[in-house]
Amino acid sequence: MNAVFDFLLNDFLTKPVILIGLLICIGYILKREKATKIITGTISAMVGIQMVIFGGNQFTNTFKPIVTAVSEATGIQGYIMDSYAMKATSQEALGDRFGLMGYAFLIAFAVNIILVYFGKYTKAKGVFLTGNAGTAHAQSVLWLVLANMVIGNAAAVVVTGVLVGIYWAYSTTLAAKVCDEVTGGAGFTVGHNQQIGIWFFGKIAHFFGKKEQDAETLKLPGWLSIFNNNVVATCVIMWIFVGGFMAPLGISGIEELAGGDSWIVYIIMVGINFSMDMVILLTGVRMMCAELTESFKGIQEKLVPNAIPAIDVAALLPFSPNAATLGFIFCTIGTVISIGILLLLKSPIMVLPGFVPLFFSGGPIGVVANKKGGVKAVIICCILLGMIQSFGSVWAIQLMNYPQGVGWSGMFDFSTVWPAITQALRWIGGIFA
Amino acid sequence: MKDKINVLFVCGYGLGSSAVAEMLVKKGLVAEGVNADVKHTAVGELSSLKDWADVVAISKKLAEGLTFDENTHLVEVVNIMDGAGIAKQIAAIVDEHYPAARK
Repeated sequence: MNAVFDFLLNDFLTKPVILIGLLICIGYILKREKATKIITGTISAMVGIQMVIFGGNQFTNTFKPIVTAVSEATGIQGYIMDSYAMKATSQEALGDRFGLMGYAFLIAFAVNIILVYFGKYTKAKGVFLTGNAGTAHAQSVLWLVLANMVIGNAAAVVVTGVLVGIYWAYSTTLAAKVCDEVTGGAGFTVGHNQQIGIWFFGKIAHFFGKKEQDAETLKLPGWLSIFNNNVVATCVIMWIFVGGFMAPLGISGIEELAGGDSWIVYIIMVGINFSMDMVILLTGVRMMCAELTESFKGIQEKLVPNAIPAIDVAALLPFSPNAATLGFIFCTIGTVISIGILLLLKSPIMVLPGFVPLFFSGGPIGVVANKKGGVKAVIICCILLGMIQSFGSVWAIQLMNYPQGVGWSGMFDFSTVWPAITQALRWIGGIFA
Repeated sequence: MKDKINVLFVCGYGLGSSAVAEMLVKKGLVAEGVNADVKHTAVGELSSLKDWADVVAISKKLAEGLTFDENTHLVEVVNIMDGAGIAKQIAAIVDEHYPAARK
C-alpha cells in the first residue's frame, strides 16, 4: 500500500503533464461528456501541455547561448520581454511544481466568479475568460509567490489563486468603461495582460490631442501589413533586436557562437528559430486551452449571467485598425528609446522586446488613445507605453528571483502592478520568514 | 455538392479572439441551420489551412496583403461578440454558393 502511495506522490503526480491532464479529465467527467470525448480531449490537452513545455525549453535554448556570450563580452545580461519568455522562465523555475499552476488557475477563476457574484458589495463586474493569458498568469504568479514567501506548495497555490482572481476581477472591471466607448457598447472588456494600462491611458489620453484628428482618416503604407503576420513579425523583430544585441560580439564572436557557421547564417537562423519556437508554443497552448474558453463561458453564463465577459485584447483592434498599427510602431519607438537610455546609463540589465508587448499592448492602447485624443495621443501614449514597459520590465526582472531565466512578460500590467505586488510579497514574506 | 462547409476564424495569434468568435458564431450557425465545421488559427499560420477553409472570418486589417483563391469566401469581422450577425453573413454565403449545407 505504501509503495502505491509513494508511486502516486513521488512519480505520478509530480509530472506536470499528468497533474494538469488529471484536472482536465475530471473537468470532462463533471461535464458528463461521452467516454470517447473524455479520452480524446484529455490526451490532446496533455500533448498540448507537453508541447508548451517543449516550446518553452526551445525558446530558452535559442536565446541562452547568445545571452551567455554577450554577458561574457560586455557584462550586460540580456532578457527578452515577451509573454512567452515569461512562460519559459516560470516553467523552468517551477520545474516539477509547474503542474500546480492548473490548480491555482481554477482557484483564481472561482475567486473571480465569487467576487462578481457578490458584485453589489464588491463592485467587480468582469469575468476573465482568456485561457491562454490566464494560464500564463497562474504559472508566473505561482513562481513569484513561491520565490518570495516561505510557504508550502499548497499554501502557495491558494495565495496565487486568490491574488490572480482578484486581479482578474478588478483589472477587467477597470477597463470595461473605456472598452465600451471604443467598441460602441459591444459588451465585452479586456482580459489579457494590459487591461490596467488600457484603463490608465483611457484616463490620460485626452490631454495629448483632439479626438477629431482620427487616425482612421490617414492612409498608411501597405507594406506595414507584414507586421500583422505573427510568424513574419516575430522573425523580423528578433533579427533587429537580437541581431543588434549581438553586435558587441563582433563578426568573429558571432561565428564562434555559431560553431563555424557564417555570422549571417547564424543571425538569419536566430530569427527563424524564435519564430518556430513561438509557433510550437502557440500550437501547444491552442491544444491545451481548446475548450477552456467555452467551458468557462458556460460557467459564467450559469452563475453570473450579468457579468461582463473579459476576452482577449485583440478584440479591440478591428475597431480602429490604423490606430492599432500606429500604436505598434510608436510603442516600438518608445522601447528603442528606452534601450538607448539603458545603454547610456550602463545598465547591467538589458531588455529586448518580442512581438507580444509591441503588438498586443501597443496596438490596443493605440486604439484607446485614438478614441480619446486622436493621432497625437496615439503617438505620445504609445511612446510612453514602450518606456513604461521597458523600465518596468527591468524592475520586474530584478524581482523575478530567477536571474538565469530567459526573460519576463514586458506587458503593461506585468511591468507595473505585478512587480509592485511582488515587492509587497517580499516584505510580507520577510515578516513571516 | 457540399453539404457541410468549413469556416476558419483568423486572428493575430490564433488563441484568444478567434477562439471566442468561433465559439459564439458556432451557436449562431446552429440557429441559422448551417451545417459547418469550425476552426481557428493565427494569420501567420493561415497557409496551412487555406485549402481546408471555404469561408474565412477575419478582420479587415489582418486581411490586408493576404491573397485567397477565388473559391474562398471572406467574412469581415469587426465585433467578435456579434456571433449572430457573423453567422447571418456566413448563412448568406452558404445560400449563394453551398445551398446543400443549409437545412
